[in-house]
Amino acid sequence: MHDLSPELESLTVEGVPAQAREAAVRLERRAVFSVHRELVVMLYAGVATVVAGVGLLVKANLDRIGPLALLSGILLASLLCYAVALRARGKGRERRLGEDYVLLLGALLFSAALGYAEVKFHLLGAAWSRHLLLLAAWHLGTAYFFRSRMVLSVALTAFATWMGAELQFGALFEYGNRWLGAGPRALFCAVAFYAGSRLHVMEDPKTGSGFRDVYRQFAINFGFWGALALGADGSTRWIGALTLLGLAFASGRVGLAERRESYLVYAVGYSTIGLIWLEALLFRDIGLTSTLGLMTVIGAVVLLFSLRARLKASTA
Amino acid sequence: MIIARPTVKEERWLVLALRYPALRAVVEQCGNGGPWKTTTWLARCLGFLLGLLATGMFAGMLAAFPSPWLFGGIVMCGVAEWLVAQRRVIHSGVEEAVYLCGAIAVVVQILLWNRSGGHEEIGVALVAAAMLLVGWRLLNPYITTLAAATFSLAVAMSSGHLLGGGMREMEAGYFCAALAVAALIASGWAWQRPSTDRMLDGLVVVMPWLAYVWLAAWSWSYTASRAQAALAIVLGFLLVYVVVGIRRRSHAPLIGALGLLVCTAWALRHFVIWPLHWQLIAAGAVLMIAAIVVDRLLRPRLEDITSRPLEEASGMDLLQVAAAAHLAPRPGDAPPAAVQGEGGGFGGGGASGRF
Repeated sequence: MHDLSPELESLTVEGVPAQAREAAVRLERRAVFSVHRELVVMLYAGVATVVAGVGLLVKANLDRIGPLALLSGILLASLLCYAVALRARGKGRERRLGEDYVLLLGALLFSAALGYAEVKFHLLGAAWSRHLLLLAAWHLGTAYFFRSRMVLSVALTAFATWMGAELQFGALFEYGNRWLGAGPRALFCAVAFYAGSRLHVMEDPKTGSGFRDVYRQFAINFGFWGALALGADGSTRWIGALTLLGLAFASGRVGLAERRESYLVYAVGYSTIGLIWLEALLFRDIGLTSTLGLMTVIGAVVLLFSLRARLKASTA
Repeated sequence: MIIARPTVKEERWLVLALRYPALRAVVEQCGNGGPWKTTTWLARCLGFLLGLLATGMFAGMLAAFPSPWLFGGIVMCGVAEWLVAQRRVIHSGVEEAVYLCGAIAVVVQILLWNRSGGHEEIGVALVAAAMLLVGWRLLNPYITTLAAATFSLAVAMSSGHLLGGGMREMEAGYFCAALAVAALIASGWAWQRPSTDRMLDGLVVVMPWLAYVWLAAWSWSYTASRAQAALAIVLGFLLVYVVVGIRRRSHAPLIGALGLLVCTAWALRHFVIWPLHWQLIAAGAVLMIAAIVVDRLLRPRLEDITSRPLEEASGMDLLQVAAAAHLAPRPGDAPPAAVQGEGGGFGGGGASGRF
């Protein structure tokens, strides 16, 4: 077991860094030890396992238990989970780590219950996928009510899933409807999420809800996925390529301005994949495509190192 | 011969800058990390991906050449060595992917030339040795752990063929268990190089899981005594890991213990008569309740062991949000369209009165 406290103690710092150094020295000497990450993994695995079990339960016991009893059971479990979060809110304190994940479990069980009700009773008929929109609205409301970033991410995913599920209405493969395809829909999601982030633009990053960051992470990823999907279609290839480069440029600028490395990584990673894909589509010859692809990757590596160096210089 | 890589002092300062983002600027100003260029874990992941992409593209270029594996492997090892020795790039992901693929390619070419031997286990052991060399050269714990896992495959294949039956799963399981115990003992000593610690940590975390996988494969035909032996070994490791992790205040045994919990749950399925869905629900609920109880017990204690986050998040929040999104609902299938009577629509030739 190594201990970096001698190096830390040799640092001459004042003010906030001095406090950070003291905390770091205690950590290095193991005077204090946190099992926070282990607990996060345990809770996430627990939630995922329960949700998987509930999914199998619904499939396996439909006939034996009956739909109403099953639905009531899942809804009751979901409400109990929400009650745990409500109790913390009622006491006016921050939720503990475990309560955060119980709330997430409640949201996911509610999703399972509503999805099951829709499949079983066809409440919305032909517009069945709208239940995902209802779910997105419900989760969005509860995310704001409980100030939960994880529930917000479930809400945004439900919204994106609804946008994707609407494709099943058949519009995608109809002639002339390529503008309703996966690419434009993902880009629409990105714009909607970016608009959501603008609602929190005045929020303090340290003491705020952290929703702005969640919205922006979703917006940037959906934007890139949309651009890649556009590039994959022969008729919108160049629009996709231009959108991809535009997004990469914007993401890189924001990453440098706000010192956010993840944005730089997205910019380099997605644009490299997109360019290699474009080259493969344009030049069918494997040798030429490989050569151009290798050049592109080398360029991306150089760009990544250069952006990292600029980021480091701006931080210093 | 001097192998260009960070000295012990340089490596310790590089690790310090990465481990404490609040102090990074101050640490880097000291300049004790030498000329080495490193990246954070996110950029390292992208670097590794780019390295793999570059390797794939290079393989495409060499497809028409004779002996492409040997030539390509040597060139890739040369490029990676140039990145480390000349450009002073370390732990960036790029050189790691390129070096690893290059070394494996060289060994594969040698094996292709000596195909007639019929000793597959020697080939696998050679690949593992190449990985170990690359991992040691680049101070990379992931690659050394991968090498150890590949060695266990070579042990298993020592009297049989890959997927061909007659493998020595029990010996491979014992090999992994022995390696885990040795690494656990060695990781208790004070090491100067952080990477040595990390390499041992990798073995501590992964080897007991792998030991169980081999033992589970060994007891696949299911005799109760074999399954019980596998379960006993897993439970033994679990207990030791939790105690050692808490006593040493070390994350590696605790992370290993989390994986062993999964192994235990999997091993217990032989002895539990419940249907799978109830097993999953019960296992998940037990896991959550255990985590909540530990959190409640440790939260007030700011001294000693606590459940509060003490280090800076460094992407943990982002991971949690992404993981939550991953669990979000997926749409089911669209309900079947209602049958339209009276000759249908267009397909009915207009018998319903609608085209």
